[in-house]
Amino acid sequence: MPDKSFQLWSDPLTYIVWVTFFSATAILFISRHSDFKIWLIQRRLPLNLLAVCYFFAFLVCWRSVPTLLWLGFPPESFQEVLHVQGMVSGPDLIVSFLMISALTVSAGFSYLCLPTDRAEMRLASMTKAALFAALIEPERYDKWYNSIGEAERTPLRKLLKGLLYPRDGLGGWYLLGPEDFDKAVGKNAWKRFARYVDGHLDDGWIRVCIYSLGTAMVMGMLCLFYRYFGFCRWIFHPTEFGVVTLLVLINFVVASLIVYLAFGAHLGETAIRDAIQLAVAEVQPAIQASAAVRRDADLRTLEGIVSNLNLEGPRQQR
Amino acid sequence: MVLISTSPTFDLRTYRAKVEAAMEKAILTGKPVIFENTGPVHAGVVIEVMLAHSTVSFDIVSGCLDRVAWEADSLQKFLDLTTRPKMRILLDGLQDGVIPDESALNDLKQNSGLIVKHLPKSLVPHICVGDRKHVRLELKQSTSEASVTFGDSVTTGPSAVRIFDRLWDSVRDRPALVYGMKAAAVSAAS
Repeated sequence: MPDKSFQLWSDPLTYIVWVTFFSATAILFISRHSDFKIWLIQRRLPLNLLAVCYFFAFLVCWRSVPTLLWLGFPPESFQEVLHVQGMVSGPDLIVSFLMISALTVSAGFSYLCLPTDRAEMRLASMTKAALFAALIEPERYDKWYNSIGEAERTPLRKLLKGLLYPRDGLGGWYLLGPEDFDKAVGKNAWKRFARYVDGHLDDGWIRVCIYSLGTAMVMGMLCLFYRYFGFCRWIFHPTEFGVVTLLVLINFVVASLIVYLAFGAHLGETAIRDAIQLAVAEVQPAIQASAAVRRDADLRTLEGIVSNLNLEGPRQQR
Repeated sequence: MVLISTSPTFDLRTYRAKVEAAMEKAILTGKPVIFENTGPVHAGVVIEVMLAHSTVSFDIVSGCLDRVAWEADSLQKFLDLTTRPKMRILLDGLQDGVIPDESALNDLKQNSGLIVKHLPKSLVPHICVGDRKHVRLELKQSTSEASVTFGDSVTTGPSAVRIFDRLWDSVRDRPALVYGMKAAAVSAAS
């Protein structure tokens, strides 16, 4: 039995796909944060999952043909690996789809599921703006929050604190937990919030996201076309048209998924924005009351200082 | 109630607008508005709004009336009002009773409504009171951390004025300091 995996592995197009994906992902990660090392450490879990995803895709790509042969598929099914034009076998098509899907899913995962710095900044900024608008300085809120007892720390108050000082893009979650978060924010916001990404919060990033995924898929498709049909031969070949239609459909499904996630996150953002409004409205009277108490104490302090002030020092000459 | 602007950023102009809105609310409703205020830049905004909404009197205890928080234009506008307002300033951060270059007093024109005196002892809390009802009480000078009350002519305003009067009385015999362009010229000549 010929070692088909060697041919697949030695295919320069395979290298192009992998190098492009790895380098593009690395560049995007590095460019997203100035302090890359800390950013990397903070997100080790999702990044490990991403690495596992890549590893499996790599494994599928590398060992697929021998595995399928071992499972009993006839060697004739792999004629197209030898670049025989116009021959498409089911198993090999599946293998290639798996490779592309794994890469696409992992790329999508990196964009859609990783908590992002931009989401953190955006939420923190939104919260600060809301507090400022109520004439509450964020530092004062922080001090006030730390001064109150656990019983007074309502979910909305915790949410504000968490959003002001986010951790891993998860905002108020680390103080609340997903269930409490949903109770505080409502509208099933946690699930949507967990999908927060740059693109969901910023039109520019969503374009980058879709563009990257689109590019990745087009590249994968070109690899397939080249491998099975030669470049663009499918356009003129009626029996191969169905395969292309299938690829386009997959592309459409993935794009729809991205839009769905983006829309969900948008709803999540709206819910969180509403929750911030509620939270600020809730804390404003409490903070004002606390400020009044503090001011009265300060005035008494000042009065005491003035009463005990001894101005019998050296006086200026007239 | 809309608390969040559509823009996630929050600049100083917005802060000023909010402070002005708080002042107007206090004046219109007759109910005091209380909030806390940190940092010299935000302090400057609050002071400017207080000056803009005072017409009769303004009392200040300050280190040297630093330009960072005290804008000469706002002070001059208040002094130039046709209502002939009175401004009393006590400075407790002067070296040998000399107004330093960074003081906003150097940019003011001489005005009969303005009296500046030197408080020979440093007072940790600083205070300013406008029209006996707008009060900014700064207890931490390092961070300009202060509590602000707008429109309280019943308790906070009179209390603050009473404290200021006691301080003012304690330096009654002391000469008024020379300020403004003339002071700057004297300083340059010396």
